[in-house]
Amino acid sequence: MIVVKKLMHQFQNPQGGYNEALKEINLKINQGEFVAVIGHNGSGKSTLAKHFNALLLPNKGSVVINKKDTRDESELWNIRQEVGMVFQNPDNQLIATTVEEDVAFGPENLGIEPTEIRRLVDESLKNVGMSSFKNKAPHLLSGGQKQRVAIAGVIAMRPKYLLLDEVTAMLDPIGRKEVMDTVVKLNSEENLTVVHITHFMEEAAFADRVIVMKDGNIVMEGKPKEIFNKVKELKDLRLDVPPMMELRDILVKDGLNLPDDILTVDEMVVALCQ
Amino acid sequence: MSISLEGVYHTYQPNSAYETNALENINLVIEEGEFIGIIGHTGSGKSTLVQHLNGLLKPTKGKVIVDGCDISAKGTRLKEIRKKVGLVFQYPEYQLFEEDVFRDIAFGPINMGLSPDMVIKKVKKAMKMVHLDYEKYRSLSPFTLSGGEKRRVAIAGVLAMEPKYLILDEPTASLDPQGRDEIVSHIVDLHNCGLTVVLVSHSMDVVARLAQRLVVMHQSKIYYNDETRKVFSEYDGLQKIGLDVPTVTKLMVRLKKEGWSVRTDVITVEEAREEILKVVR
Repeated sequence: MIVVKKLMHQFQNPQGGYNEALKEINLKINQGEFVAVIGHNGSGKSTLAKHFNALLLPNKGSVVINKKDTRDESELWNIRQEVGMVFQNPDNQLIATTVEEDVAFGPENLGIEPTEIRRLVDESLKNVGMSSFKNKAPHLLSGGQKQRVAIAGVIAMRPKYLLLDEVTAMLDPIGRKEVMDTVVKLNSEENLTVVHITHFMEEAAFADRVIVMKDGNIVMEGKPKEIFNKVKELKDLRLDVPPMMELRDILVKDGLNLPDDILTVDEMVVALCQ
Repeated sequence: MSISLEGVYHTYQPNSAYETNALENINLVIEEGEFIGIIGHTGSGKSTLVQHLNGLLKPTKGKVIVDGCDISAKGTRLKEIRKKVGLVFQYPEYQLFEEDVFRDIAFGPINMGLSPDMVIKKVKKAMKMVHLDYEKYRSLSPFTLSGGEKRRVAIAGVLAMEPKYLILDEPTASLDPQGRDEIVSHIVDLHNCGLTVVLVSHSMDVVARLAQRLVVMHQSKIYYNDETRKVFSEYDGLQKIGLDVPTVTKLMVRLKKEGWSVRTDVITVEEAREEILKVVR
């Protein structure tokens, strides 16, 4: 479990003053959960995520990962091993000359035995559906494939948590789908806890819980359908509203009787045809 | 005046084992004042296509004609063409390099050999077009700006050359909804000011809203080239090549299958509402 208590984070700005990136965050993330974090740029999403694996440390408050406090320097490497992170740009994260060497980089640095590394690498590549590419050079892969290799590199270290910082932002629709299918599978089949930071509402819809951030605060929290239903609030936050939610909202104002949790085309068709 | 491509082929690594046709027999006319969307998968040839429009790539076979001038011919003065046809690459913010915003945007005009006064004038005008306040931004380092701001600086750098045709390759990729809406509204303004716009995008909802005409690329060829609404009504054809249609279009297609008499060439939420109300009332 990740427990965040009264977390505050400040950045020094070039003018010498301070920006409060996180104001007072209280949050719990349970084992096995899939949490999506949304909010516009500068709302504090990525800053928050970087606290989950001690890339940033609190100015005030605390972040505790499975009873390990991120401020405790002796736990640093344990925390990093437990909380794996994948970033936005598929071209910045792969370093080796073949896919399997890249995935092996983490386990090698953990000092795991070669036979066990072999097993971890094979298993991780299988889990992201990239086994047949194991001898390929990373630069020949598509964006979605690169991100899946990056995810394999992280899960080969057997983390309990997977932090995804806008991993689909630079991908085309096919790449996005590949990555999301992989993440959903890892969450449901491998029981990996996922924290997914994204601008895409249709991706947040996969989550058990959605957290909406604004100006360093959590301003909304709930199941995807509860959040997306707040059409006006989301628009005020300048976030996207899924098109079917928006249409439902308009049609209800026109007097139609529709359930308040329509998210997909299928659900809209069912509701309208009743 | 127009840009026209006549029987254009582009072959990468010709006469080798890696020989691939990135473009095959492209025939396309972009009329002045149009707003054209180009969609298609990664690898379908979109980016290769747009790089032909200002002579960054030359056709292996065929002709590219900009305002009557064959730019694929030997000895063409490409400098003039590149002034006329401005190309904004994917992630243009990675190409920012100067110490401050002013110098970055001024790079093009300075290289055109303009007087300092003229350079300032062009930079001011370009910044105004993307709503960047001249006094506030001119001496800031481009690297301290937000993603959306950086991208606007990069676009201003192209606009400072005062192009007639503006080509944008994925201008909204990886921006948040707010940044995306800002860029989209600037592009609409630029088109309204008379610029011809060619927009390459993966986002069907964005092109549905903006483009009058859509060119769909598939496996190096033009698959559709028609009015936006007509292209999106080809639901099955687009599905076959793995492309999506706007969500509301999908809804209309589904309702029609359920026996509703609705139009299937709907591309906005507002139009979907009208169609549904027509049936239920």
